[in-house]
Amino acid sequence: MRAILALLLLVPSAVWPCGGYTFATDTTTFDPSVALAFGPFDEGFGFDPERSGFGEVGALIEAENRAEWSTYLGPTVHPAEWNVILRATTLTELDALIFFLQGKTSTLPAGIGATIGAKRASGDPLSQKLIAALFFVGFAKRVEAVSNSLPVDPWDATPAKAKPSLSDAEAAALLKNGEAALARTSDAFLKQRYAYILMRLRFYRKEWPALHAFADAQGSVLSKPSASITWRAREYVAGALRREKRIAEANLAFARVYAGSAMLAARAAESFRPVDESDWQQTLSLARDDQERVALWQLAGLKTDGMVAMRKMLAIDPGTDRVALLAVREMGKVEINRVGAEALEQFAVERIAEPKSGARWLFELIAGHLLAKRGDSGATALLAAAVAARPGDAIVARQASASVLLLRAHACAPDPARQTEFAEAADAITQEYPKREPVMEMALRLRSESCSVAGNAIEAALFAVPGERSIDPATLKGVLASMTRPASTPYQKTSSRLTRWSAQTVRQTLALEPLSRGRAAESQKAFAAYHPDPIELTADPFALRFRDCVSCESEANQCRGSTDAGCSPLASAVLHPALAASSGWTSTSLVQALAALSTEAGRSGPSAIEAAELLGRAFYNLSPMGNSRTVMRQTYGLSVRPSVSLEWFVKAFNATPKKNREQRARVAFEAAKAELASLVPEGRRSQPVNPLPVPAKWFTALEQLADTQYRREVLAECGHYRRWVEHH
Amino acid sequence: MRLLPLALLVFSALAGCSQPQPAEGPRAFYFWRTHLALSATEREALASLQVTRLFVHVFDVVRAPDGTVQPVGMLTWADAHGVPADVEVVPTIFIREAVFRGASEGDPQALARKTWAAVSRIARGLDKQVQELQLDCDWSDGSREGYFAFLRALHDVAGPQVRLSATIRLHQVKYRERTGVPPVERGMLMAYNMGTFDGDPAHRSIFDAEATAPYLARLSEYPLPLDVALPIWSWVLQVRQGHVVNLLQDVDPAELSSQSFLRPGADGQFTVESSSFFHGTLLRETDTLKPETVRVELTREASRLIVPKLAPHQRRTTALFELSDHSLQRHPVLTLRNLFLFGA
Repeated sequence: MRAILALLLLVPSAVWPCGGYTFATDTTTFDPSVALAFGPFDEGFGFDPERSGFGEVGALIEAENRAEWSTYLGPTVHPAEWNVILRATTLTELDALIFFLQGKTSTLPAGIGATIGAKRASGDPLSQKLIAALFFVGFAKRVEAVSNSLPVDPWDATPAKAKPSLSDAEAAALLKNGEAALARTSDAFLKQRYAYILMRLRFYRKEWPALHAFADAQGSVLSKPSASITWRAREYVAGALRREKRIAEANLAFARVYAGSAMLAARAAESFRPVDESDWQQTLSLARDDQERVALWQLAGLKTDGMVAMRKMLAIDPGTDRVALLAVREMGKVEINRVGAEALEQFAVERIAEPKSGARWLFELIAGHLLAKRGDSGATALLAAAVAARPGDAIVARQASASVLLLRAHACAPDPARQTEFAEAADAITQEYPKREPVMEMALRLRSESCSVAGNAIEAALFAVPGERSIDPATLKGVLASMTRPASTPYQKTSSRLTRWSAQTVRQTLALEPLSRGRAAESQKAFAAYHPDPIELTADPFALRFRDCVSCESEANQCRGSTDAGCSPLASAVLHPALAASSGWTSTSLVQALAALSTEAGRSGPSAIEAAELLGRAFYNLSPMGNSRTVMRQTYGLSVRPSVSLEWFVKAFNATPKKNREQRARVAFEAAKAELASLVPEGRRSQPVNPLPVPAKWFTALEQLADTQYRREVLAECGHYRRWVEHH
Repeated sequence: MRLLPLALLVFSALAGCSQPQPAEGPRAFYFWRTHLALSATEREALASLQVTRLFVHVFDVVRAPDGTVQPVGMLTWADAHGVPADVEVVPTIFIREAVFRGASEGDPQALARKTWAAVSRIARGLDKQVQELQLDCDWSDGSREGYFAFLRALHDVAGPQVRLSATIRLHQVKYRERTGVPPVERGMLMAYNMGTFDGDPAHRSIFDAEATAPYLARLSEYPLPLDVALPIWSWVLQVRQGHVVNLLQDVDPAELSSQSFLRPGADGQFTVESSSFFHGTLLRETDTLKPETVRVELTREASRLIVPKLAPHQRRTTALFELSDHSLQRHPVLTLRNLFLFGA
């Protein structure tokens, strides 16, 4: 469904980050508000695939309306009181208020404030003005009661069919009364508003020819004093054209509203919808002049393809700066969709070279940014030129600083001067810069990559996303050292501030790295050297299960205390109580135990055999398929290979006397589990595997112990083994 | 790297245990346009296929540029909207995942109240009782909490007489420990869009059996009863330099061959020869249009691949996406009847 559209626009890593690190949701590194230099720029016109539309104008109209009334009525009528009249007062209350002001009644309707009521008491000359205004409000309310316009709050949108319908006779009466009032009043403010409401009434009645005729006839009345009303009236004309299927004319009318009214621009842009090439060509041919054609293409670029639109605009007017808004939108698209950077850079370079270019500095900024992102030092001059062209423009200066940081991130050299440049560039990115988070994210990635290319493994690791790739212990030690030593240079200070590594997790990783290779004794020494905090194991690392529902553990943990429908019954802690509770083991005590078992397994006799089996079991449980794998999850990317456990099971099996058939059957089954896990390709161990590989070697060994009770239990519990037996 | 839970490494049989069975549950269509006025063809299809449920897209919920959460595309309808009295309307709301992402998702109770009020207004206007309300949101790690809180709140607001259902994508079945299971009564499994979008002429994005298969292993044990939605629609992908940049959902692939600015290629794709507007999209010169049409064979393949993997012996709705004259033109009623009868 529509989600698929959204999918196209999202960066995969932002949707499903694979590591523990949370990526910046915003991946764009260019501040679109640089376009503010070219005129009013609503934030909604920036490219943001996660937000719909260009902006809400209802609240702006509401505010404008209130302000106009306030100016019209003057300071003695409190705006809040008048707002109650506009928004909440019923027709009956309005009539009562008019009667009161006319002196026909003596009671002020409830809820009407004192400043309005005072007009009667004092015989204020404003009283007549107020009465005329109230008559207008009453007329407007009668029309709005049958309108199908969207209210300010879109959640309250009532579909047209749910509104009371207006009979032809009622509509005719309303029109007659309204037109009489329009003719009667000499007050330009009210006259314009009467004309506007009469136009709306025709719009709601779908009287399109009558609406156009009225708009033409009342053109001068509608044109003053309120510019807001003027453009809103033109919006209705455009809307009528749209409903008459006069697509080309409608789009031109909406484009004029967009160009003429900053307040209505977002809504006009929404309504502007060229459909096919024929109607679009007609729209262009109807335009008054080239400036209007440029504005049409700008809207077309906002709604669809900015690159095509910019070239069309420049073909009409090579010096136009109207391309600025589209250029920053295209920058956003390039960064989010990760396509089109070359085309935009080429375009920017062309604009910089164009003598008549109306927005040269913006294209210097854009080209400089694109060059900086790929480490081209040509960015420096472009960015400097852009900043020089905009003295005192903090938005441009901040963006240029960000671009410089991305450029500096590319240069990972042992040269202290270069290092200081990077540190200074990073420190220059202030909290005021709206793209700070994604820019820092990108800078660190670029820095890590460039350090890796330069052979500086420690710095490459220090700036990398922890756990994203495996890092050898020697490098990790270097990372830990650089994190814990006192910073003496600006570069070191900045690096230690920027790194996303945790010293504690580095210690865990260094301590557990030997264990991931099956070296418990080495790991024990590493624990003594690095002193990582103990990790609590929620599952017994020495437990053997017929069925390793490895997902149950995480599910149980996720669902603990939750009432989600999906948390029962499979995931409930009742089903796997052992998994949801502490096992009493910690990483520290486990490593000690495994070291002792390793020593014991090196000897001979029954206790050595038992030690080997326990080692196999523990290493299996520590592997990605086992229930104690959470230990390794608290490291940067370590995992225990299943082959480690298989080696111990093989050793235990071979050493177990043949007469101990029950014990051999158990170890053979455990070896089969480890063999199966080894058969799953490493890259697939985090995904469902279907069909399951067959651990033929150890299934065969188990089959040779067919007379054992243990084998019978396996046959009953393990469907995979049972099917294998049935096929053999 | 944190590992995803290993879902299927159990020594028990999970796949292949259940047998295909004929569909016995209700038949349904999705209606995804913004104005409800069924054509004569559509009405006839509902009647002759004995369709009893219509999932009607009533609005989207999105984040507006000012950050507020708003509905867009509110359903309107004709007085004679054409939905028979005996066909249940299931209001269906698409919610952009971004609504629930981050710390600004707001108050789920307030959003639930507004949502239910809007749905109720529409239902009253259509003269239909809401028995089930469906939510369509491709939630992620970052939005799950907000989405689920919203669903719980919506449940409270709508009351026990209204069943909540949610669309479920196959990746949410596969990684359910990570994605969570939405707190609703039923799920609607969307048996499509499993693949990626790709400009490769051979690549299929609506339904691709090979891409779908790895997601089916644990379908039968999904904790929610699942209905199933099968694809019968078509669309056109707009491809630029090998990347899909847009979906032309309103374009019937059959239209392409008659456009003067398009040059047909040997691989069934079309090259844009001059930048032109087409169904509201400005196509760029050198772009490629890649039509994808779901024919009944593909729908049947989707059904045969997925339905036998669902939990057996459950009465489930089979819904086709989507009801339109275009779809019915490509899928005559007779073939759709067979699909309802035997394909699922």
